[in-house]
Formats: sequence, structure tokens, C-alpha cells
Amino acid sequence: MRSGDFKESYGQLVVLARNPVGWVYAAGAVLALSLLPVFAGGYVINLATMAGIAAIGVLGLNLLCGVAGQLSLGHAGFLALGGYAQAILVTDYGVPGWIALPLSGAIAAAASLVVGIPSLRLRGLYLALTTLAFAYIVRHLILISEDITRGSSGMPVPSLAVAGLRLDQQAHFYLLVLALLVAFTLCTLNLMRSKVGRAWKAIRDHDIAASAMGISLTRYKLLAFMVSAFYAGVAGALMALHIRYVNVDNFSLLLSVEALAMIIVGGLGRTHGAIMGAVFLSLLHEVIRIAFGYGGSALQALLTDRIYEIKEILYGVVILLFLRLEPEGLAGIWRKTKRFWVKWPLSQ
Amino acid sequence: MKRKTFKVAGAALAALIAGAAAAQDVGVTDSEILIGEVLMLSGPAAFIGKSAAAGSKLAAAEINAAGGINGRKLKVLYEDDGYVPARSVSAMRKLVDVDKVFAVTGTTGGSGVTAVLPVLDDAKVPTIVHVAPNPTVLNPRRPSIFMIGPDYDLAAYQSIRHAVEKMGKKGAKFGLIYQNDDYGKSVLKGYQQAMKDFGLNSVAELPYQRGAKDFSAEALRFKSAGVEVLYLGTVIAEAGGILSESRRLNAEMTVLGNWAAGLPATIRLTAPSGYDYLFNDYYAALTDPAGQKFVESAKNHLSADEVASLSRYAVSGYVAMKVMGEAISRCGKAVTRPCVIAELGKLKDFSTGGLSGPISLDNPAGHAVPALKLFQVDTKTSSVKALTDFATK
Repeated sequence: MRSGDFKESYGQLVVLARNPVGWVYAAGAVLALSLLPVFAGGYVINLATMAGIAAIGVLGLNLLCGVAGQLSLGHAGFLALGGYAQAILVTDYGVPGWIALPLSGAIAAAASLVVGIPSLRLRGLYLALTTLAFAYIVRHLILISEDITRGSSGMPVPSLAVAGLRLDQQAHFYLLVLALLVAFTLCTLNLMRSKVGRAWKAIRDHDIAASAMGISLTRYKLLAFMVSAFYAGVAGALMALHIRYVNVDNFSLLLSVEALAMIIVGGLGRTHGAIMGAVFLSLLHEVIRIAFGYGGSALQALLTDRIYEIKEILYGVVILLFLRLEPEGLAGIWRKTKRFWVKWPLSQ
Repeated sequence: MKRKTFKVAGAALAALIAGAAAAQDVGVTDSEILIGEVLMLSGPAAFIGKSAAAGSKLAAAEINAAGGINGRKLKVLYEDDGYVPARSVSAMRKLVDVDKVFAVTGTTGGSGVTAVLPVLDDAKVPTIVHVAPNPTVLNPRRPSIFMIGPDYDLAAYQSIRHAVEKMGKKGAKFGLIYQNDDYGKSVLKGYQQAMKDFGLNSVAELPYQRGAKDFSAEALRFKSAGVEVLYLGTVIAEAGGILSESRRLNAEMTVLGNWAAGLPATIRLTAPSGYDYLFNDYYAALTDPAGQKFVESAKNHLSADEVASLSRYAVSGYVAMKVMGEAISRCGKAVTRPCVIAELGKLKDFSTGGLSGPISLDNPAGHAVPALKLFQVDTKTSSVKALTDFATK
């Protein structure tokens, strides 16, 4: 009689879902999300779109920081490159939007070599500062290259057209973001169980030991930067398409910090954690706003114009509490909840 | 016969009800008109957002105290974007899609303004942009969107003209420091146009990066070039930096600026340098007679915190709400978006009671360019005094 969860082959060990029920749940979730435009208004769709875009970018950052162990504070730079690439390729070079989208990712991936190469010799805080410097360089390059980027004025971004159908309607664009999020999630899960994913984990856990085992640090660290930057580039392009306008102000350095907060709150190194973290922090402002709404006008009047600072403080406090009380993040909560459910009534 | 009369009466009543229903748009009820504003109420530019919100709140309170607009009270909903463009879009979508506001009189600042325009344009919401007027708002022309406020090039041009024509600075050496962004480039454009039109001698035009803190090199350049009239294309802290460095080098100059130089925060930072500089603005100072009246009204209608936040941006918010109120009132009982947009487009020489020059939106661009007024800062008392009235030249 089986008394535990045993794996009898390597294939079983790296399977994406332990049983078909997992796929059914996932398909159900995707189906429910794709039906959102039928039930929800424009504002909810807008929030869902923003959360989806954030999740795509954070999935990439999670591969770099959570899986490969390379700390990056420069993702705002990759987002900006993706956003501007989308705008410039479509506006100035007549590239169709749907071709410009993956190209934007590719351009960000190519640019990642600028920080990827120094990362071969740097770790921790030094690497973080190098990537931060990269974000600064990108920002100022955009401002200086006025002929290409329109400098500080920014530029409008034409909406996407696929097979003659313009995706300027919120619902259409949301479905595109959802489809891309599903594709990137599957891609991430497959990467994680491949040779590449295992090499990244080995480098994260002990790079010298990994090197001794024959893992090329140069190749895999650069690959981690490129893959992560590709995700961020596509997310940046989607951001530009969503806002319909790019400007350096849209890609402030704070975005890099927020993205890191998302993977930490979600659960470092976990794919579903990255998505949960992105969605959670994207919607946290909204949740706080709704909570204050329940306080009624009396609460609003009591706090007058300080209410906005209080909301921002609450945003910070929620993140702090999360990190203090649940270091494993949302993925940890999810795991504990599942275990409680399965073991009940013997749960502890 | 009776039955026929009833039928006719019934049909007339149905038509009347249908007409009444058709004559009011989204965000309009029999007793209320919903107006929305997205402003930077938190974050680095919160002082601007809070001030603008206080101004529009005051205008709405005054309108409501006088009985509303054709029997309907104004209700204003404020959303904070924290000065983050992505949140500006979200907040604007909430106002338009969820709260279903009828019109918008606050469109945040920075690149957030440009980001929210497609949302407003798609929904054809009557909109007044006033916090951060810039050329991208009106290019391309969006029929429902109007803007109050000149660009910075006009401000630079007019204050230099004043220096030449009224202060005898025709033969002086001119210098400019400007922020290296679209704001600064607009200043540069006006400055260079003035140099060309009046045949002036510009000896230094120095850009600086946004966020710069150290201006010793720039001050030294101005000193060595012998700059006698310096134009500030700065925002807030930078004006303090450049003027304190110039004072340290004992540079004697006439200093000019625009309304950014007239903000209380800027004056506090520049006062120790002792330069009694000139700046122009298209709104009255709070110390002007119209400004004092404005402050008195604010004390009656707003909280102490809101009164403390008053600045030129409060006047800006106030004027925008008054303009919107005027357009709505001209539609009578039948308040619809197309009607209000049409009335905004016809607005000519609307008086703001001395808080600005007359406001006219009746031009193809939908752009009101109010007359500018020149002020001088008294560094000893950290106050400002008006040197001219609102003038178009």
C-alpha cells in the first residue's frame, strides 16, 4: 500500500501537473478570466489588464532573481526599452504592431548583455547597483536621443492591429494580454523543469559547485538576463500599448523596486507566486481604496486631505507585514492552505 | 372624443418624459451633476494636486451655495494617481466607467495628462485641462478636450520684452538656465525668439538634468560670461540652487522667471539669495485684491488644511470649475455632453472676477491663452507684489 507521494521516474518528477485535475482547474481559471469582459466594466478590465502586464514582467524577473539568483534593480530600463521599441518600430519604421511586440522583447534581450556581462563577476549588492546604473543609462539615453525617441516629450503609441482587427477596444487588448500571460506562464514552467532551469537553480544555490559540475556560468547567467529582459521588453511594449503613450516618466526606477516586491510577496522562485504577487500588489491600491470607501464620508472628512498619504502608508505596511509574517509569500500561504485542505481533519 | 383626448394627452406626456430622459446625459440627475478630477494628491507633486483640488472644491461649493446650476448641485469626485501615469489611466477609467462622471476638470500633471487623454476622447467627456497645460494636449485636436493656460515660451518672451521695453535692458548680456525636458525646451524656444525679435545678446544658454542639485558650475559660467539678465527655466528647488550659488559669487543680475518661480516653495528657497526677481503668471497672486477675496471665500467653504494648501494651482482649479459650470449653465435644463462641449467651444471673454484675464475657448484649438501679469518677489518679506495688470503684450 502506498503511504506517500512517490515518484517512480524522472518524467513524473518534472511533470507540470501531478494529475489531470490540475489542468482542469487551470483551464477553468483561464476560461473564467477570458469571460471577464462579458461581466465586468471597463474599469475592472483595465485593472485586470494592468495586473496581467505586471505578471508577465514579474515572471521574467522571477526567473532572473528567484531562479537564477541574479539580483536586478534595472528592470525599469528593460521595460522602457520594450515600450519605446514598440512605439518607434510601429511609428517610424512601419513595422506591424504584432511583429513589433516580440521584436521589442528581443531588443530588450539584446540590451541585457550590457548588464549581463558585468554580472559574470559581480554578486549581490554590487550586481544590484550595476543593474540600477543600467536603468539610469537607459533613461538618459532616451532623453538624449531626441531624434529617435522625441526626448522628454514622449510619443504616442498606435494601437495594435492583428489580421485587420484593431485591438484598441479594452476587452480585445485584455484578451491578448491574458493569452500572452498564459503563453509566458507555460514557457516559464517548461524552462524551470528543463536543463536550463536546473542550471539556473544550481548557480543560485552555489555557483562554484555548479561550475565544478560543468555548468557554464557565462552562458547561463547571460541567458538568464536575456530571457528575463525579453519578458520585461514584451511587458514594456504591452504597457505602452495599454497607455497608448510612452514617456520616460512611465518607467520610473520605482517600478524596478515594485517588481522586486512583487516576487518577494509572491514567493521567490515560484512561478505561481510571481503571478500572485503581481496581481496582489497591482490590486492592493484598489483594495485599500474600496476599504476606505466602506468607511463612508465621515472617515473621509475626518482625514480630509491626509487620506492619500495614509493610503500610501497602508500600502507599505501591508507589504512589511507580509514579509514579516509570511516570508514564503503568497506561494507559501497557498501551499499551507492546500496541505490543510488535504490533511483535514488531521491538519495542524 | 374623451378617449381621443386621453390618448393625445398620454402621447404628449410620454413624449415629455422621453424628452426629459434624453435631455440629460450620463452623470446628470434631476438634482446633481457629477464632475470628476484625477490629481496627484500624494507623491512628489502632491502640493500641486491638493491645491488644485481645493480650488475646484471651492468653486463647486460657491456654485452650490448659490443654488447650483439650474437647480442641480455639483458633486465632485477626486481620484489620486500619486503622479504615476499608469495609475492616472486607472483612476480616469474609474471616474468615466464606474462613477460615470459627466465631465472632467482635473487631468493630473506630467506625462499622466497625455496618458489619460485617450480615455476621455473615447468617451467624449467634456474636459478642461489646466494643471499642466502642454502642446500635446491639443495636438491632435480632440473635440471634447479644452485647455486653459499658455505655454512657457510665451511667458519667457513676455518677461524678456518687459525687461527690454520697461527696464532698459536692451544692451544687457542675457543668460538662460533651463531644465532639459519639454518644459525647458519650451522656455528655450520663447527665450530664443525674444533674443531674435529684440536683437538681444545671449551669452549663455545652459541646460541642466532634471533632479540636479549642484549648480556651482552653471553659476560660474554665468558669472564669467558677464550675464546681466538671467532667465530661470527652472522648477522649484533648482531656482534656489542657482540663485544661492550666484549670490555666493557676488553676481549682480536682474532675474526673470515664470509662474514656477512664483510658487511659495520657490520663494522660500530663493529668499536667502536676496534677488528680488520678476516672474509672470496668468493667475492673480493670493495677495492681489481678487486673490484676497478668493482666500476669504475659501475660509468660509473649506477646511483649515485646504485653506493652507492654497496657491496659484488652487486658482487654476477654481477657474476651470467655474468655466465648466458656465458651459453647463448655458445648456439650461437639457444638460448633455454634446451641448456642454459646444458651449465650451463658444466661450468668449469669460470673466473670472479678476483672478485671471478673460477666458476664451472659441478658437479651433480649444485653447484659452489668458493674459499674463508681472509680479516681483520681495525677498525681505518673502512676498510678491504685482507690477502690471493682466496684459496680452
